[in-house]
Amino acid sequence: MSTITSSDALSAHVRGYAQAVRLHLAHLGQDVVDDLTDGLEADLTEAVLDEAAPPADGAGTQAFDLAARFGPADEYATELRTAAGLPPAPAGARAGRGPGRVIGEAWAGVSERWRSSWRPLTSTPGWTAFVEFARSLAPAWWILRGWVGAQVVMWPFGMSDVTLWPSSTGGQIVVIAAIVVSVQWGRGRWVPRWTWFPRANAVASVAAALLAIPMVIDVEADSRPVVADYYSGYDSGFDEGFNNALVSRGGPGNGPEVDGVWVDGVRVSNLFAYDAAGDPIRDVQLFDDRGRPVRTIGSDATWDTWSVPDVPGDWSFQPAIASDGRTRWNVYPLSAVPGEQVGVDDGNGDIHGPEEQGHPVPPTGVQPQEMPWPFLKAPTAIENGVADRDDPGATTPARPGSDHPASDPARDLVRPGERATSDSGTREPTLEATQAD
Amino acid sequence: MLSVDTTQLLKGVLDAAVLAVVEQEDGYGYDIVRRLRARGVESGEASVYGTLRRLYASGSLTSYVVPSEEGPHRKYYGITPHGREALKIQRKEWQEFAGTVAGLLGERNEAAR
Repeated sequence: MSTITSSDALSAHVRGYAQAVRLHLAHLGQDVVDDLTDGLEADLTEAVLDEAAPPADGAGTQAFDLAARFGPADEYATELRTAAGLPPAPAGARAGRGPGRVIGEAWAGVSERWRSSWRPLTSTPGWTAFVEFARSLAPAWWILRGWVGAQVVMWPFGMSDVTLWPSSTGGQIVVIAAIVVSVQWGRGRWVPRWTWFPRANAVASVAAALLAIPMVIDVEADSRPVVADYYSGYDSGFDEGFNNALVSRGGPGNGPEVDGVWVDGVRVSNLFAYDAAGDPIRDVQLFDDRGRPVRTIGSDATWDTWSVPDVPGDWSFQPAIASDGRTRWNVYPLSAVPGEQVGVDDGNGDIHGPEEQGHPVPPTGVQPQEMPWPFLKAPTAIENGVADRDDPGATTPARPGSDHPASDPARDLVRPGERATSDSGTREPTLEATQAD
Repeated sequence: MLSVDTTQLLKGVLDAAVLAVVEQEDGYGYDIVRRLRARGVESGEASVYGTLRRLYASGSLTSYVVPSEEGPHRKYYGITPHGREALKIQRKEWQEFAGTVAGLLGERNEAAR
């Protein structure tokens, strides 16, 4: 019974014992030790299992006391060495190797004591089941370890912030290589034959496990904007990805608190409204269900430039100006001026609106341009019945002031636009079941 | 006391015992220990492993790795012509020695033990 349920505990003990034996043979040199103890773990394990095989033995815990079964590790090492006809450690070598050996032996003692102090817990079936479960996750851990290792390797070179998947080719190569190496080490391949390697690897793995926690939290917090940046970069060209990256990096924080509008994980710069008939509507004011203006260009992003589909160059979006002189960023579609023009004019510091951080103002004579509409006519016309059923008020958007306080910005907008044209036909079906594409 | 003596005695013939077992069939470390035990030869495992390494280093044994599905790879040992030659000599020497000791002790002795 104990042999099967405690196989993981056994392998840990065997590894510890074999390591102790190797330590006692270290004076022979790495190659000789490797040759002499090659397969030692397998032999030890088989010997223990062989002995513990009869269940009536009752030697469940005793079977794991490897020192009782095989004798002290140093005696085992001596027997192995003399049988192989190899010389003992020179007398002087013991003193010379003092610190390493003393530390190694102290470590072996401490770890054995640590293990035995946990034995009441680790010998329970529940613990074994847990260990087996955890062990089945080992490949996932190897991948995570490789990823953490890559982050650590790249960190001093500034190649990458902690990202799930680096943007640079070099970073990607480092991540892949680190994961491959980590997995191979986990499978027992490619393991360097240095004496100190197993222990160094153990320490590094623990460090990686500890580092993984903040890194994963960081990436988790980063994930939405960062992933969106790269996708949009691939989808819409380098410029947009680059600009989006600028935006998200310039934000007050990474994550959902970044101001703005997102569609499919990609930051939106501008919105285009169409009426029920599928015709464009200009100067639409958008508010959310709590009356807050919907801004694609957050107060922290007014100086950012964006690339726009179908129009080359960078563009700096301009807010609408209300009759009281305040800027209104929730009036769509936003118009824009070429980014390089406002960039040059930057120094004037002409700031509009006391509540704003300001926005780039085009030099005199440059008029904000309307950005290209995605469609001349919306692909789908909406039957009026749907709108009536959902929200009758939605068909009369031109009169919001009746139940709003006088300060409502919708009433004193300088550019009322052509909204009235779309109001005319709202009560009648505009397009009957026409699905224009 | 007696067991210690047996152990000491065995040390002299462990090479021959190991060679004899491997001559029958190739085997890996613990497998050889097990087969020795099955034949009544109780030797320390480390002694057998060390002996295997020494015999390999002296050219009496060859070795090859056999992949194992459930565990680490196994290093198998097989006997070389040189090892067969050595075993033949040791057999002869042991039989002479055992006969000599049996004659000296004046009793029937189980040489294999």
